[in-house]
Amino acid sequence: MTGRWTGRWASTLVLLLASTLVSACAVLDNPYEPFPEPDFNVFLSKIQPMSDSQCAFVGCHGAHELALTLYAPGYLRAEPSTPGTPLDDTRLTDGELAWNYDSLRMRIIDETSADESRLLRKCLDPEQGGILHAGGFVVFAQPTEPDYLAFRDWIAGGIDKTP
Amino acid sequence: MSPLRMTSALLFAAVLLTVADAAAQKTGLRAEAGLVHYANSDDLLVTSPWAKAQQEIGERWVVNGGWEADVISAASVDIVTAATEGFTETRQEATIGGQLTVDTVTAGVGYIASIESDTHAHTISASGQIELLSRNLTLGLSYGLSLMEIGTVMEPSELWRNRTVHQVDVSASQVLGRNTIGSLSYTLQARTGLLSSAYQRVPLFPRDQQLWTRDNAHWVAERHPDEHFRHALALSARHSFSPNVFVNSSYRGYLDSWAMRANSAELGFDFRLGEGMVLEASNRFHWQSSVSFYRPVYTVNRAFITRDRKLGKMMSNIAKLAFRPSRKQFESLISFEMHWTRYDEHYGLIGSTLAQTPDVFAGVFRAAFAYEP
Repeated sequence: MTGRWTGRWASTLVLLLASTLVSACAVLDNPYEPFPEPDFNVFLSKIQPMSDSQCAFVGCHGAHELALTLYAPGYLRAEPSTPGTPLDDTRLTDGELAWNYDSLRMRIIDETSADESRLLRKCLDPEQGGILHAGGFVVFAQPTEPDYLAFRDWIAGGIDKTP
Repeated sequence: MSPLRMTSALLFAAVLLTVADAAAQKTGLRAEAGLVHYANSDDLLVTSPWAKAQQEIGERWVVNGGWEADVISAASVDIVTAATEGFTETRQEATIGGQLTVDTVTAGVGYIASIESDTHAHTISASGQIELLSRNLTLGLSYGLSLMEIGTVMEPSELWRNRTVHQVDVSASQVLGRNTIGSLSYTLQARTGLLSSAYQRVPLFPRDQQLWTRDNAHWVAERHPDEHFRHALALSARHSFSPNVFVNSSYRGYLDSWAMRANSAELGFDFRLGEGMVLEASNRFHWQSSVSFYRPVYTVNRAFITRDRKLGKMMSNIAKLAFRPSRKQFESLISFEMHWTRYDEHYGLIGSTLAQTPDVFAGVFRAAFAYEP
């Protein structure tokens, strides 16, 4: 009786060890994941102006310490101006615009719906289905605002055009 | 509650137990309380008070319950970057369980509830143990299931994600001679769901960027695979050189489906210094490879990216000294551990520049007290 029990336990242990060896041979695939490609011209004409006026303040996303960093004339710049001189309010360079475009489109990786995307919902009033934004800041009070709809359509275009 | 107040409350509870049952008969009750304090060179402080009790009911049943808390205070450079500021966090955990012993067979069940501001977890477990061959061989089998909900403090609970953990442990312990006991155990753990940190951000540098600073990286959310299978095989032996000197040795090999390989070896000695006085000294060394998707720096976006330094190549050493005085119904423990960890492939922020993370040193102090009227 005891020997039979011991034999069964030994068989179970061998099976578990075999599964260990099988998993040891498995290779985890980690493919290159391209960024979504929302329309860059729409970004320049509609999204960047929103970022300049609503998001890129020095106390908000116009700082390097935060997860989402955005450049804007008069606020954070890639090439900082000399201390003591007025803020640099010249137009953004191509590099700064590309940075802002990348910063935003990176945040729609893995999203399947613009309406449900975190990027869009973080901008919407939580009372209207949004997600609480740091500091309680609300970019869009209503999901019917033209800027909200433009932002949603831009995100939706990016999700559709993910390579 | 501050660590000082918690310690005072625990000591008060222990004194109360002692006084209340000073003249009692043997009751089958065992009450324990303790405190663990961890501090490391990354400015991470964790204070963990705990208390538990078990009660025998008749000759076969034992029920137990317990509570513990972790008060975590962190201000490390990495955490500051990911969450914008340091934080203080408290985790509370309650346990309840029961065991039934019939002859050489013991069966048990347990439940653990753990709550913190960004994680809710419920764990159920069942275990069985049988003694065979005139009680020279002990076989054990246990299963645990944890259901967790994980998110961030800022998010509504509808956005929280699930994590499920299944764990099976199989063990065998055999008396190998008059003075030696050997053990073999195997653990299989399967984790699914959100396995990355909900807070952690990973710097992604443009491919042509040569200067790795905080300011020229895009910080993107950490992404781990949503399945993880882990295997660990442990061998251990305890040998008595004399009635007063014991040596403990163990080895643990680990591998997982993310291609990490790890090894841990431990050697320790227990010295009986006199009636009710035991001194323990041990040292544990651990070394591991990185998971397959770990990179010190990412310049290309991948399906899986991580900044969890514990998934990178690393080695660590833990030296421990413990003193266990006991007298009649009282047992106690005071121990101190020194931890050293080297993260070979991790870059942290030194100021605003990414640079090799320095070695991390930590100290762990434990004090515990048990009373069995």
